[in-house]
Amino acid sequence: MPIKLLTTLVVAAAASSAIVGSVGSASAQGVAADTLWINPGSWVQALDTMATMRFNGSADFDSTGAVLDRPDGEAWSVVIINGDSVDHLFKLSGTAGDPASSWAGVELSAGDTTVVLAPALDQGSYRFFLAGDRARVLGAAGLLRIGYPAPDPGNPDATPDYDALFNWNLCEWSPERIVQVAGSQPQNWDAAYIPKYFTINERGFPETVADPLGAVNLTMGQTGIISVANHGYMDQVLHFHGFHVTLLHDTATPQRAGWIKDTVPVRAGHTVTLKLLANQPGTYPVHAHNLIAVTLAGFYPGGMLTQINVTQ
Amino acid sequence: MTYSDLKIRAAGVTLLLISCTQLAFAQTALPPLLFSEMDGIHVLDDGTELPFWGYGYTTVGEMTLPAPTLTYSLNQNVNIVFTNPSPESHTIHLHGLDVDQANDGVPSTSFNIPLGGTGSYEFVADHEGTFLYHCHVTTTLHLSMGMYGMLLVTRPDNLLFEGGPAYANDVPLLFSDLEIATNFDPTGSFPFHDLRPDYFMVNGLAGSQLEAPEQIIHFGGGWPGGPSIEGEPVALRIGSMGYSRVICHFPPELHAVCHMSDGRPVPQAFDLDSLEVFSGERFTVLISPEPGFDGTFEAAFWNTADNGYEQSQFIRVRDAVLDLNELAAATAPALTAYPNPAHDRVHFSVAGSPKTAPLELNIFDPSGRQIHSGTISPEGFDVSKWPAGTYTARPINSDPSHGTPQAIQFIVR
Repeated sequence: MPIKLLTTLVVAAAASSAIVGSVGSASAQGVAADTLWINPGSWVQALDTMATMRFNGSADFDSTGAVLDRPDGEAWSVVIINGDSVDHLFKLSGTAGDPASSWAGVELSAGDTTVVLAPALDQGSYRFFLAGDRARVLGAAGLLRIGYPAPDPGNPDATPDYDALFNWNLCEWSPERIVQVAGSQPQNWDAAYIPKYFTINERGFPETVADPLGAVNLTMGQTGIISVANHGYMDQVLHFHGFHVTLLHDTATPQRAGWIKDTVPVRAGHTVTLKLLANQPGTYPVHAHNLIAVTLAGFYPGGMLTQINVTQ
Repeated sequence: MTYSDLKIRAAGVTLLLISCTQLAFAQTALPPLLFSEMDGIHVLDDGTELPFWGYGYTTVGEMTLPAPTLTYSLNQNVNIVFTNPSPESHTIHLHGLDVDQANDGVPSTSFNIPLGGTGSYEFVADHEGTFLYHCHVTTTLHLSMGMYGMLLVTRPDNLLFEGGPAYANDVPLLFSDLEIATNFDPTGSFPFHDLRPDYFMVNGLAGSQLEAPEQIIHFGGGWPGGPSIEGEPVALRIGSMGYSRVICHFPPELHAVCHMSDGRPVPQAFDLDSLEVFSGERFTVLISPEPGFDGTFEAAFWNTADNGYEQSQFIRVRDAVLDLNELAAATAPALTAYPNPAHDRVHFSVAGSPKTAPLELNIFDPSGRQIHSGTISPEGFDVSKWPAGTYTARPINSDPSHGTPQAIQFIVR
């Protein structure tokens, strides 16, 4: 397969070091490292079997999308294998005008492998995605976590000031729209938008509490970093029971960095990075406060609802 | 026996418990006794009588939409005793107060209150700010039906927070919405994801209901309905329990400044011309309206699913002086200042007397310092160099009960 190399952004050496530097932490978190596969597939949620498309860490389709970890302040790269039957444009999103959002992106030919060289970014959470409504409706998007290496208990000198990393990919899903885009049927974007499924890491409650990357399990006194991306069309707002979190990075409202909140908007197409100090024991829900988003196929409870478990 | 078992009592015992606790609290005037029911009637602005579910004070025996605003002092030990005579289980989730698991109000992780049960929610109000409370049983439906209210934690020194600004008084503004058809037929509301609110409220009111005199936010001091202190800002306690996203638009004359969100000070207070409020979020905004302001600010409701505009409600803010002047005009021989507000000159007259008649007046500046005493000519005063503010004109030897005009206030801009 031909390899397209975008040479205008960075030198190859910088890109290579970014790949190497990321492999360890990415593997530890069970997320994609140096290669992303664009995998079309089929996804079952309650009453519906839906066409879908994901970024995965292997050629095998997995309904849970990949997360990319990369260091901050360095240009980085990723190899992308486009397993779809059409060309795509790979893009990043962050705060308006930042290097992620102003990056032009890279064309990915159908069936081809492409080495993508991407710009250096500040510490925070971003989105990577395929442009266009078809890809968006099908779920071809993922979380890009910059500057948050996995804690390494065996190397205290390199240990960051947090104890665990978590990631929440938020999205709402409309089977009607999926059928329209997957079947290339006429799309009726003027019709009332009534999504039926709401997920965190492509899971709806109660499956969310068994998610090793999403369910927040900490011991008293530990600090967790939660990266959140909203890949859907709807704004969401997350409410934490039992805790306030510190907003470290918010691509939609960057001026809110440093705010301490219990209810955090995550606007459509945007990301937030949160710090949670486990300062009281117990099990506490965290969920979308958008009333319909805590349902699954119309049933309550479901959807964007997971848990924080703090043990003594 | 589980913690829930300890906190919940069966119906027969409940009555005794309520009686005992009511007696105890009557003596100490401490926590509110709340009850929930599912047979409330809320009157919409078109006169429709809408069923709702909600909370009310047990001692009052009536529910309101939204539920009563609960106010506690910083570091107060709070014990909310809650009884539920309604047909379904309910709880109280103390939204944003970071209470422990046992008091969190989530049925699966703490406890719920079934028909005939009672329970208590205990916590320390250890952060100042604006909070909410609501039922967390089948939350989508129970919130839609109206089971929510606001909860404030305030300081005795009337500072927003330690080291924060002083303010005059609290004005709760709770945004919410409902789907009228659901309230009339809750059992027909499934599936829950197809919720389309069509009625949008501020403190449970909409449209012309918000124009009622008791709904006006007065500022400037002296208003009989509130403790507003002249010269100090009014704290808008803004929160949302709706499905919609709400954007408040503040006119520049209000000088709105955001100081807190979700019960915590923001790192740096900032001026506002608009404020976006999502469901469950809270903000504390101080407004310092210009003297003489009499206008509205807009709360625009937007659909969360497709970002379509739904409707706006308008909240009126009015200088209390204007009301006081109207009141004085209605009840006593009318001393009038004109124009009011004044920019260059202010004139005075008494109804029934020729405008060319001189008047004997004392004039006081906004701080209460007397700046004039004696005759005022028909040409009035040059106020063009006076500091902006609210001034008082009091006839010398004023005694309205004997037919002489009482004091009035006038505004210099």
